[in-house]
Amino acid sequence: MQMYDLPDANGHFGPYGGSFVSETLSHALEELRAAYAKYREDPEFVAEFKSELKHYVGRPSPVYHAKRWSGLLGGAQIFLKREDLNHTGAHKINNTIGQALLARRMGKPRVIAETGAGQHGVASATVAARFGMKCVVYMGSEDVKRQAQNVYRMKLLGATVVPVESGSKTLKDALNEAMRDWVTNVDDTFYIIGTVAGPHPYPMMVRDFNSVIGEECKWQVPEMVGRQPDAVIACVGGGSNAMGIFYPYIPVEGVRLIGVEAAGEGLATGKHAASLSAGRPGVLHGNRTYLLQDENGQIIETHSISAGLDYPGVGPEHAWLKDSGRAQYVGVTDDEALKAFHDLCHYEGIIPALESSHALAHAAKIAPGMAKEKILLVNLSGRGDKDMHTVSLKSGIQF
Amino acid sequence: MGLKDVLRMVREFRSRDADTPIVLMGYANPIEAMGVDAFVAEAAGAGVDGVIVVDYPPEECEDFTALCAKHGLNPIFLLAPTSTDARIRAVAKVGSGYLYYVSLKGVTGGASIDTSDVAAHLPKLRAASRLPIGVGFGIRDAASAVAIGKIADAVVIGSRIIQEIESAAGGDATARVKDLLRPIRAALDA
Repeated sequence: MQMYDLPDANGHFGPYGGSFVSETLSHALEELRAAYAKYREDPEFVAEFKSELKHYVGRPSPVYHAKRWSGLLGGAQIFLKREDLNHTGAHKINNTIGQALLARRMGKPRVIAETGAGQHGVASATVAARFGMKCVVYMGSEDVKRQAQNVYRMKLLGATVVPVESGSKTLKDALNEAMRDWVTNVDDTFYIIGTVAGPHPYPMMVRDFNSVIGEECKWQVPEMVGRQPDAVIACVGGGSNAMGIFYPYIPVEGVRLIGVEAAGEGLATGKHAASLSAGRPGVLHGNRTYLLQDENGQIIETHSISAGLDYPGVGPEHAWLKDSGRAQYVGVTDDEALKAFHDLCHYEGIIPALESSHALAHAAKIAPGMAKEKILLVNLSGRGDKDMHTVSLKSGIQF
Repeated sequence: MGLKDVLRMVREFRSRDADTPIVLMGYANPIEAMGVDAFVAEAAGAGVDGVIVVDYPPEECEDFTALCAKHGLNPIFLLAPTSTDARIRAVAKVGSGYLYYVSLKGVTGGASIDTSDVAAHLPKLRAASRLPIGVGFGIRDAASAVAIGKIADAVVIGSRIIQEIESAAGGDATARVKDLLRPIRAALDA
């Protein structure tokens, strides 16, 4: 395939991406674009980022062959990229470290963030504590309820958590509030966006910081099996863990890229969060991408058992990868994800995040139909400790 | 209430009032959902004079501004205290109708306005463009309207009116908005 060098200078991935923001934000974004353009090439910045990833996050995270589970499924071998073993328990810290280092170089002592599952909020609060910055996290009040432990974690780390009561009280509303804060306090505030969405340069920058995931896999998998995997599978809400593992593989021929969206109670029910599978292009939160919207262009309320996938949009680069055919996007329901969650607990002794369980469920779906020597690499993007409450309620158990 | 309903209301209003200018303000997505071509044609046909699409910066909506020009619709762009000279020039080039200077770095409905900040920024805009300048964000009462009215060509009151409509019980929204605006109008005319 031809060289892949997206986005263009204005943040476009084909017709997607871009910078659709109010004039009140454009100066802040110009400043950020200039700073990122400068520091992404700066050897000192890159070295500090790598050092933090190694000593603070604990990278490289291992790739693990889930032999027992693969054997029980009876087909392709499933390998797990263990982002759940990172400090704070998910891939999100890769990006927050990068953005916090950038914020410091830009002289911004205050960081803000939006969060859905709470993982990005925890990762932001963590780096804010690590670097001595003030941190405010916006979180939909519905998510605050679903993820009480992560809320407490953020508070322990010294962050202020602001519950957002507007709209569906989930991630998209938290994002709106965080943007509002940024507009008002741009002089001293850096907005750490947690996914590969938002206006340019965020989709590119968040992808770049997370691409360490795929970069590591590219040498780890051959080290274990002598070749690259046949397919790479990752869950997609906004899509940061998926872009992180997909991006280095885009130019690698013969590696299928499969993104797994939250089909909630089923695509046919309308209660889901599968914007690529069931949405159409539009403009939201500063970029053009696939959106779940009604015929008037109003955003539809989404549903997923996992707060981290409960978002009506998706990163613009995924929209492009879908249209170009380089990646394929499928849906996995709440029930399918829950089954994969329990199976990984039982057969591998690993408690996965409900988000990551969507990717696992798709692997479990296709593995039995594949030859035993085929290799599926699944991004185990986070650990499931935060989901105890949700899963136990589903099983009728209350703590 | 969708964009189509809004355009229907505009047509209704136009059948009774041919002169009062009408400007629509909103986000890009409902327009794109309708189709930019269809929206511009229908809005112009309904009697809309100008459109402010908050999340359409000039460089992301060249097709839209070209269509507006073709249909005689004025694309109105925002400028902020943080707008660079290059930005002001870009907006002055493609914008028409008026320039909309948003006085606060906050969003609509925020705190009150800083008049001296506005006064300090307007000369730059005047140098770049001959369009009239409307100032908004944070104008909530007669005093702030008069202060801004002395330096700007128009004062824009948005969120404050919406607040009044939202808190109105039953059918008294019109009366409440009139009560709000009457003293402001009187103070500006004084």
